[in-house]
Amino acid sequence: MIDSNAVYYDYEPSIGINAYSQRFACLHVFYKSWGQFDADLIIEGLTDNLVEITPEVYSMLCAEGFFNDLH
Amino acid sequence: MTSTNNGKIGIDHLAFTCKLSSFQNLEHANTRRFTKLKWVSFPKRSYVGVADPLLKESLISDYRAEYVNVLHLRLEQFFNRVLGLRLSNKRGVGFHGYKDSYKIMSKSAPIELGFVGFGGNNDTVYIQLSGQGCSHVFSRITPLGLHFWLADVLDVYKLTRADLFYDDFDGNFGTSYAETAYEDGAFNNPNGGRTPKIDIRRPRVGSVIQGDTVYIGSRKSNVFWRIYDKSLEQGVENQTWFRNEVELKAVNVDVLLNVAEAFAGVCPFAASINLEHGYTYKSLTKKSVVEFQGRLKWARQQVGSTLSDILDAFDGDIEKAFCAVVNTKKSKWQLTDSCKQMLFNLEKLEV
Repeated sequence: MIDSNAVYYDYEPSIGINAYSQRFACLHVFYKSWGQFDADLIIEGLTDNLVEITPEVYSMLCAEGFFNDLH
Repeated sequence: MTSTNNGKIGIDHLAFTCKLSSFQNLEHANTRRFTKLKWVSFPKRSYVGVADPLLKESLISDYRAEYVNVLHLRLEQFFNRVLGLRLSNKRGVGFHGYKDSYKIMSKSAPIELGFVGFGGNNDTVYIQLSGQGCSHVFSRITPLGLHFWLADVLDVYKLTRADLFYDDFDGNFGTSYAETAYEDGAFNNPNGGRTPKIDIRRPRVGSVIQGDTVYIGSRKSNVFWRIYDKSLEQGVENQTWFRNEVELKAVNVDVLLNVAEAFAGVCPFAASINLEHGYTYKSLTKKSVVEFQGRLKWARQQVGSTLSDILDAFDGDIEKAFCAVVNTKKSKWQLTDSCKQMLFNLEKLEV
């Protein structure tokens, strides 16, 4: 079940972080480094609700239409 | 790692969506340009004229599968031939709401440079290139050239995100300048709207500053500025290096037509960097000097004592010693006037 307060993230060290949250105005934000991501989370008070996108989490998000507004 | 730009406006991140079917249009480039690239051919419609309905249905199904397969092969060819990159095998892992994805890789090394999401979402593909990926692409093709492929061939009219940046090596456009410009309203949208918020961060331990960054706007808005001391971030000592970077979201693909103009058009602050009137050249020279200085330092460490012995052997005649080491007739080695000037300037720059 989607947690509307959570920040779901996909981290590839050489590329960056794709972060998704219903708390973001545009659902998706790309960060170039973990430092940028972390700094934003602190400001927004979202550090306690981090969820890494594993294959299981991804399947759940897709099944519940989480990404539909992106496209 | 991010790309550098020799004092011009650079592109540090690109993301866009296009239809997978638009890769059937790649031949259009041949009629519009001098390039005559061969692309994988589409399958023939072997089901035409087949009377047996079951067989016909099966052949149509095969044809469709093969057609999609060719579109993927063309996507791969596009990355290879146009962008100078390659795609990994299908990962079997979804990305950005897509069913599957490729990783974008360097052709020459196992370096990951971005993602391609595909499968679903109205048969679109989502392409996301990192800063290093952009650096690879724009070492091969100009932004104008990429605009041609995106807008005229693949029907891409909007970039989901494009990050433009300007590197300042003189300290003219650092964080202090950004703060002053903010106070003057230079980050306000020329077309009106609310004043963006400013967020200044200078973390330090004791008296040692660890970072110097000014954020203007919101990362979630369509325009977000980040001006920071790149030398502090990268741990480069005794070097002035400020990066002025703007994240543009949902922006027209035409920013690629003239990146400097697009940058200058974002707000008065960007326009004030005034690239058309000399700063570009100045930064270019400074960066070259710094790179040249690094090469000299390397040569001094590696072969300094050997060169000194050679010089002794020629009784201190620098010209003879230099000619003995470098074959000036066959070599492309020729000091340009600007390099000679750099050598004179090095003494001032050395630390």
